[in-house]
Amino acid sequence: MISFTVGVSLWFCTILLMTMVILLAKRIHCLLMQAMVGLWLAGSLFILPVLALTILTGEPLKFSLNILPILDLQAEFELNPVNSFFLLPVCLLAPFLLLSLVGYVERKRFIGVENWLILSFLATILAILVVLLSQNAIVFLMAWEWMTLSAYVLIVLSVKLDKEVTPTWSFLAYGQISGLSLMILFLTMYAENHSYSFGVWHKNTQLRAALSHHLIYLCVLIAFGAKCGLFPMHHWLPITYKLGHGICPALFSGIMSNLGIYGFLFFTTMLGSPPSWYLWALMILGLISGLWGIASSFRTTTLRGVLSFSSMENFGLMVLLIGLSFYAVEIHLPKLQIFSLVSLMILLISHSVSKVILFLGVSWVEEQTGKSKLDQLGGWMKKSPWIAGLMFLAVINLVGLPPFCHFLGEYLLVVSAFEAIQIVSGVGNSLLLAIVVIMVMISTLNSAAMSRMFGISFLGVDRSTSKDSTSKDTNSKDSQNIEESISESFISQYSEKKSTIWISIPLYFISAFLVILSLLLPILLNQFLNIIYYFSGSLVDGDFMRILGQAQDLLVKLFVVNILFLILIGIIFGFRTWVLKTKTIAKGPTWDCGFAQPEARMQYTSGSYIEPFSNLAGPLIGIQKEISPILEAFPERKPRLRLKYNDITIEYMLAPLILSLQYLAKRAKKLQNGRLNMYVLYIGITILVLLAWVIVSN
Amino acid sequence: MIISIFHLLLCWLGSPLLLGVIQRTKAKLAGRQGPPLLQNYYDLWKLMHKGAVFSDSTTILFRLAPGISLASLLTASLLLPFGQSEAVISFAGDFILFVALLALSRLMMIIAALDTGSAFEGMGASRDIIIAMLTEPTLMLTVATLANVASKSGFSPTGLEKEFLSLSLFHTAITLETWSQSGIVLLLLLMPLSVILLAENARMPFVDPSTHLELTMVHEVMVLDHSGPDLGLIQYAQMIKFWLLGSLFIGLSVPFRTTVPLLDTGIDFIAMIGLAIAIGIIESSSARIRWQHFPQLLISAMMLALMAFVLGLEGIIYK
Repeated sequence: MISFTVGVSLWFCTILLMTMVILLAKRIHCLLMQAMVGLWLAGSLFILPVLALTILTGEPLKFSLNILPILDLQAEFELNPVNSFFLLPVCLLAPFLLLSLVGYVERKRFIGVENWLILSFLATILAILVVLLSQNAIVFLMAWEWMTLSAYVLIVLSVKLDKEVTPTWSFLAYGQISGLSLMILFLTMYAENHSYSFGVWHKNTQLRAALSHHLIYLCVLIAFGAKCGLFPMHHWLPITYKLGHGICPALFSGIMSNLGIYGFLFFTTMLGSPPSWYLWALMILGLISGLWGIASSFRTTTLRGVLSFSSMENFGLMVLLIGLSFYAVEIHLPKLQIFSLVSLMILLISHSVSKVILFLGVSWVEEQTGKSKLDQLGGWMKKSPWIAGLMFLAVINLVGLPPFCHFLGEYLLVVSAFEAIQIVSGVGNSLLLAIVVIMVMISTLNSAAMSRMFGISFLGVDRSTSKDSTSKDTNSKDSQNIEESISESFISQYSEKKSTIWISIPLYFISAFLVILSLLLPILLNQFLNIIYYFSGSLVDGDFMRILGQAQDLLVKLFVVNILFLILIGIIFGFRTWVLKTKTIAKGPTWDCGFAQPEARMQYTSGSYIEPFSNLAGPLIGIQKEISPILEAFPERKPRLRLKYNDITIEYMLAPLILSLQYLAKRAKKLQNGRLNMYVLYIGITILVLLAWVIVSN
Repeated sequence: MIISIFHLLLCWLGSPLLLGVIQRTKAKLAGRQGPPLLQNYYDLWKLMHKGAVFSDSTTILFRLAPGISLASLLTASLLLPFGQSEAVISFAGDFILFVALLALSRLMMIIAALDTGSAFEGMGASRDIIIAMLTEPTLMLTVATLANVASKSGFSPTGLEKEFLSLSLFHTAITLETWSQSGIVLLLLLMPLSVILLAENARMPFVDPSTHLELTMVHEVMVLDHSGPDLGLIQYAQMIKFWLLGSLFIGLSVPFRTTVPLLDTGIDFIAMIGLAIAIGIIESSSARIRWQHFPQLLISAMMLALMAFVLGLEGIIYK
């Protein structure tokens, strides 16, 4: 408890320090910034052992605070194995993101807004902590709104800096839809229980009216679906992830959107007895999100676009797993339930880590080139081999291939679904069959999407023709000021190197964590049993340890195969090195069937790479091919082929909805006619309606 | 266990022979003498003694790809049963790992192809990924159906309770009796499995391995820039892949089992040679299909696999 309090206090101190800097000074000093990072990191180091202990022992840590003395609002907080697990990425990844942010601030990336940017980043993290710990509806809602607004400020600040005219409203709009749904949910629950405490709600699960029971689950679906970009509430995700600096999508995808998953898990367990339609909605929408997300990534031509749709796909799979685990309780399949939960845990942590690596890498590439389109890049593996290499590890992990941990999660899901198919009959059987088939399709589409992203932008030859701006600046120095130029160059190089370290160190650490996690997760699974027990203990008490043991056995066997795989790689490379030791190794241009020195423009582009796929499924996902017909033997105009990308969900779902709202708003605007007597009439009608309601209800 | 290790060695050492048999068959049918059966061994030996030339545009991934690709296929071979005995490693759902290792092998080669910055190799990578998108779900469904059929047959020749959904289970349990119980499902599976075998190994009618026209190639065009030992590793990986998918096909189509493990191994090995001869005959007597027709054939195979999967699940065949 003391360690946790010290950790959280250090986080608060960092925020206070930052606020003071904003109030007292215009610019933040380098040393102060480093001290702040140190303070935050120390806070994380104090919190981490408490999280580990809570996960290992399963003992919850409860405390309450009188946060609003005027209203006498006693806020309850609890640190249990589940929110400890969701806090792990926050404590592990947020300090590295902060470090990276500081690195970019040092590179003069955020002149003028750096203080506010850091403050909004820290405020978002703190809000996430409060959301996860909160056991009171009012505190939860306040922290939820605080999180949305501070994250919005974070985007707006970096967008403003980039002078982009971008629709930042979508993030705020979906955030407010989520907040509004939560408000309806909490008010309904308050009306039922006369309390804002989650503990009281959990005790009174049986006393709920049928209508409010369905309403609260609809609210849960909308509130948390909007947060994690569940289909059809996903439109904010690809738009927002393209905005601002790369740190923003890294924070959103790696840490913040996890709260959507937490919300689904926590509220479904806490509210109890979820209706069947809700579970089916989770599973079907999760599946659609997974498939639509990864298929849509072929429609985008930017690095961040591909990653954002990959996030949609992964969150879709996680929502599917939540639905599946609760559905398994309904059909009495404890093995499916526990395997789904284990799989969910693995996918969540693996996705968080991989996305932070990838978005940090992408922001580094964008920082260096000023470009984000796949077809404008190329050859980055040669310029930054380490950063690109680490990103490649994250790519392989996200594709779901061995020996990385994402594969373990997908493996458990497919195995348990296959087994359940043998037992379940009727509609459930068809659903499980669909899950298996779509999972395999998602996996192969993922492979294509990620190889496209990495292959086109990081491999091959650089497609850009512009020269490096740094060398241009150095060359333009006047020859009379050579000494000064050398001095400035040395300082700038030193500063560049130092700030590059700030940016690259987080990548090394997080990648090392990914590798360790992938290798050790199979043998560490038993340490996490309290998290799974939190959900399944009351449901399948007797079978719990046996089934978890089965999952552990399977993962240990996979661990053995992974080790053998790594040994074989070692043997092959040892042999290759030995064979090539005495041989001549030459270098030359790419062979390319006689076209020596191929130009960058001859390479395959992101569009041509997926051309066979767009021929096959283009109309389904909104890829249109435009070909100018060749009508003459020797046409004067060059024949032209263009791929057009449309989001059909925007075209056929979102646009009609917004147009209808606009139409209604136009009609409603007539009520606001500027005549005072009409406004008095509205007030009178409202009072009469309220009076009638009071009389009827009494 | 000893016999399983023997099978593993047979796979690692005998796979180059199968491609030799295909080449020899094609040569004989064309009225030529053809290369010796052991030509592929000589080729591998020769390549291992050569130096290497690397393109300026390539990175470390280009050098790593052939080794990782081969290592994943060799690891996959640990999961593959042959003859009557189980694989070296067998557990529930091992076929998922098997398919994933094949996918990793392919992804590494695609990455290496894109690393060269060559238009031709990019084209090969693009084609290979679309083939993967259609064959991998088919392969997964096929193997899952086999595992299903095997588990439902309730027959275990060794009398041991094997892991559910395991490659070893289906391989040892598919016998004449299983064929008599669920022949329609197994017959339906032969079609997608043969399509996968030919498409994944770049054989006719999908790809003409003897062509020298780059625009018509898929796998061959992806390795244009590899040379020396790396090319040797790639060629050896292709041979192992042929053995892996071939033995899956044989496991299904040759259900004869005796109680003598070595005899079963002999039967399956002869069947593998027979498969190689059959592929040689197909390649000599058919033309390559147009690239535009690839997806149609692969989707048809996927639909057949799905149909077999559903039929097997519903137990229509058993009732």
